Amino acid sequence: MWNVAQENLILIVVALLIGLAAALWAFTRSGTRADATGDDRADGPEGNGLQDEFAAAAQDVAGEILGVDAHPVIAGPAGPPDNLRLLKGVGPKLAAQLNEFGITRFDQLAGLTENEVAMLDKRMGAFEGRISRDRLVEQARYLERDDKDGFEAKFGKLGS
Amino acid sequence: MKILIGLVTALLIGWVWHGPLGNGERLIATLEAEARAKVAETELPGLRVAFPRSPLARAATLSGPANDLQREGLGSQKGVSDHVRDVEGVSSVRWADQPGGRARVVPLLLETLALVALAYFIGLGLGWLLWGRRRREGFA
Repeated sequence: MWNVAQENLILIVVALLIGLAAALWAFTRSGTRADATGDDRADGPEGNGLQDEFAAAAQDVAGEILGVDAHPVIAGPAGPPDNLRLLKGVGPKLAAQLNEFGITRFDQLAGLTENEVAMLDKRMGAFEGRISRDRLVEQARYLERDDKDGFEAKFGKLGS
Repeated sequence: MKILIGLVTALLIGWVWHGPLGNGERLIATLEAEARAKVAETELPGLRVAFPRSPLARAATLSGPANDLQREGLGSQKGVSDHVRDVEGVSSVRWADQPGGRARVVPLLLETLALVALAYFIGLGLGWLLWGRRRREGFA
């Protein structure tokens, strides 16, 4: 058997690398995100193509000139507000900041695309970058589904 | 599913390596040449050694006129079987006229695929250690 292994050393190294690649594919976040959260929503309609990016940019510029938010990031809430402070890392001030942007429910947070998170994070003032750093979207996806066990397994005990 | 796809890919590459690329045949041909050289060293006329080709296997089969002493040796004196068995890589040696019918041999393809699967799972295990272990999320 050892002789066979010696003769097939290249093949064995290739198989080992395939194993590593399969592990990378199966175990990393990009590979398991949809599985872990049970959610495979695609990126939003904006920013997926050059045309969309130009359209969004034009809206932003027009909004700046007119002094209005011509390019709202967040869709309006579809029900009564949730307690955003259940999310790990969200205190009263950060919750109030999110409310200012019109985010009052977990489903609004959970539905944010990466582009939208990046845009919001830049506008968060003292809390800049907190949405992505505290993984609020991922947290909200659990709470949106009322999956407290999944949330606690991933982020620790849920506060009251 | 991803792990299964990886395994099937590795096994498929193993099969291509063994069969279509000819590495299995090459290994057996090498073993056969070395075994023949060993048999020739015994200077016994008419002895032949062959390895199965369908399926390929590392089991040598000897044939030709040789008495028990020449075949198996005595004490420290080696017989032809011992000389062939000494060839690195030969898994078993038998005589064609040996009673007991055809010997069971492990196909080389099976050995190769077993090694491929083992290497794949070692790689997978290493990958799990690197990327798969559950990390505490830092929200204590």
